[in-house]
Amino acid sequence: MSGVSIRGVTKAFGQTRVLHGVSLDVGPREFLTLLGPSGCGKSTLLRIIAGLEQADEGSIALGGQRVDSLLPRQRDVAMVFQSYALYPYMTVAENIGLPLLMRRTRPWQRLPLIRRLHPQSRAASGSIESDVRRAAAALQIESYLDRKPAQLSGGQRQRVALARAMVRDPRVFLMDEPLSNLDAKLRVAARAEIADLHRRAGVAFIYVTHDQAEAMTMSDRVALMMGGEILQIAPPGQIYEDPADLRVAEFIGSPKINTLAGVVRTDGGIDVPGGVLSGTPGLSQGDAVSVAFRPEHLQVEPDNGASGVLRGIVRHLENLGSDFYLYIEPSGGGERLIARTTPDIGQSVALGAPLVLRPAPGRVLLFDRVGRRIRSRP
Amino acid sequence: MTATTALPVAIERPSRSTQARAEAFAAYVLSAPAIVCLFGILLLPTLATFVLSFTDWQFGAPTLRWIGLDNYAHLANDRVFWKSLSNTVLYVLVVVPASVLLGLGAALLIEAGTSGRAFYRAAFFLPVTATLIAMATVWEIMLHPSVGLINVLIEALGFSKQNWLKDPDLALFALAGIGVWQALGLNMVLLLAGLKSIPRDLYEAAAIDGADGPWTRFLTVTLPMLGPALSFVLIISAIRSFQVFDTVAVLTEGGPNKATEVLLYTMYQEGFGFFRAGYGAAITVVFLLFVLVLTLVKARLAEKRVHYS
Repeated sequence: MSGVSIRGVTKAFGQTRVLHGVSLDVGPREFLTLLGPSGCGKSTLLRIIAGLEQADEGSIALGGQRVDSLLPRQRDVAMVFQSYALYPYMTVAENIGLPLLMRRTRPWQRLPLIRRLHPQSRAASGSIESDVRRAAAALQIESYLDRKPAQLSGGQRQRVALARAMVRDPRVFLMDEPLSNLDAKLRVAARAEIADLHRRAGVAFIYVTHDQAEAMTMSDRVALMMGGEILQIAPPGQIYEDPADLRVAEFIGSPKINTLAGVVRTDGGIDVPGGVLSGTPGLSQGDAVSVAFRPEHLQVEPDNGASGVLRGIVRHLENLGSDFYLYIEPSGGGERLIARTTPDIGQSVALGAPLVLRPAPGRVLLFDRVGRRIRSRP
Repeated sequence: MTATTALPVAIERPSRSTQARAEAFAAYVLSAPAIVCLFGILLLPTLATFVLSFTDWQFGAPTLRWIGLDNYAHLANDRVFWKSLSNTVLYVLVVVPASVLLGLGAALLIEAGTSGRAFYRAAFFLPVTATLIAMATVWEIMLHPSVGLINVLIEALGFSKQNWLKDPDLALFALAGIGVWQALGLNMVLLLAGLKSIPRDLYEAAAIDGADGPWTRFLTVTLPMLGPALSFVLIISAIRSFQVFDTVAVLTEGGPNKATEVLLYTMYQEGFGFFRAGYGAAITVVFLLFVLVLTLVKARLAEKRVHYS
């Protein structure tokens, strides 16, 4: 049975259409990331799943049950907000315990005196307390239970938000950019923690982010959204190696994938500014195509007059320690190309040096006029 | 600055302290007008009032005599003063809860509404912008025993007419009603600002956590988040209603039979009606003590809420 099933969801705010018929299935134990630039509709989709927004059309099912008419509380989802949305006037323990308090007690049982005197209410408070301790222990925030959120660091607040989400064992976790308010170092550590939390919770996670590193490192599958549509859903490796759309190829990967505008020749090769690249069978002559290859698939060597396919001049060098980036101005004009090499090779290259450029055979991706991938047919 | 930091410490020190002294001098010169105004307009008159309250000075008299605590001893036995004090406290106890609760209700309704927000906001705020003296005259006509709109309405509903401003049992409450009418708008605007500053995220988190009924949501999110604004509004309303004067002076002059005698009106009568300035000063000191206590409560509350941000 599917964890989350989204069918043909559309949403418009006034004249602005934010979602154009999104369909998506998330497995019951899957970690799925909605990845895309800001304004692509990913947060809106998440909020529709949570029940905080109503879809104009389409339906949402959780665990096989349609939830379109249910309130957020009735959907049994937990959500972690970008701002964490902790209640500032409650202690950490009260924050984590609130979802349990609301579910296990009646309004009159929450009155201060009754909570202490009425045996059943006291039992409820006891069970809440032990569950709060358990969730806090899982996230190592037991020692802060009596503090207020303002007395915690960003990383600690984020853990409190996670604890509040996991304390009542929801059937789906929804996370809206939960790491974007943390500093870079903490974010890397928190990635591993969230992935670990997912393994232990054993339920579906839907995670919204604009950060491809988060998407690539944590997800079982990534759904790449742009302009209110899902362009591709695939495991991280596949979405990087085998993008279905030029926009996917350009969004995923840092530095950005290299692209050249080309035209198919009579002999099946492709004319690009400053050279000719080999094409794939099945292209028709005169077609405009985009030729794309990752920086690590651009091989460079000193220009010794040999007949290379492409030539260029080195304009900028970046040494990252583990990698070395060469920014090359192609002799035929167009955008700068980037080559990723090892520091050993990179340091031997001088600024302004002419180079011969060879996209690695079999690593060149072709896209048609509207950006759809042209796959080589065997 | 950058040049001096490079110099050796021995040379840097004297030059630095001269510079610091010059800066301090400039700071005092520049803030002198503000300091003079602060003392001249705010602190000295307060101190003068305090000193006068220990004298028998008559307004306009060339001499005065130090009489120690005589004015205060007299106050303790003055039936008019006690009546005035208890009337003022009663007035505050009616106006503050009513104007704060109604202001909160109006703010919640306006915030929850989808249309006409600006209209309602402006409408409720109108009494705040109006001159109370002028409006008091309008109220006098509204409350007129025979032709007043209020009695006409009351009669239409089947109740008997009341002589609002001449009935000792009703006069203070009639004034309190006007006080609520006047204070409600400001309270509403302040609370509306407080409501707007509550992050929407919190309501959404509450909806997912299950605190989504109107009453639960109000108790879980709105009220605690409104705490700082609410305590501010409470204290401000209390101080402002302690200062009630205009309506008393225009409509009832403390009557009938001292039923609407309030602190500031008594002080005004003593000081400027009977020219007993020393005695009036003593009443002012009592009044200032009440305001001081309220201000201290407010400061304490503000301190307590520090962890909110």
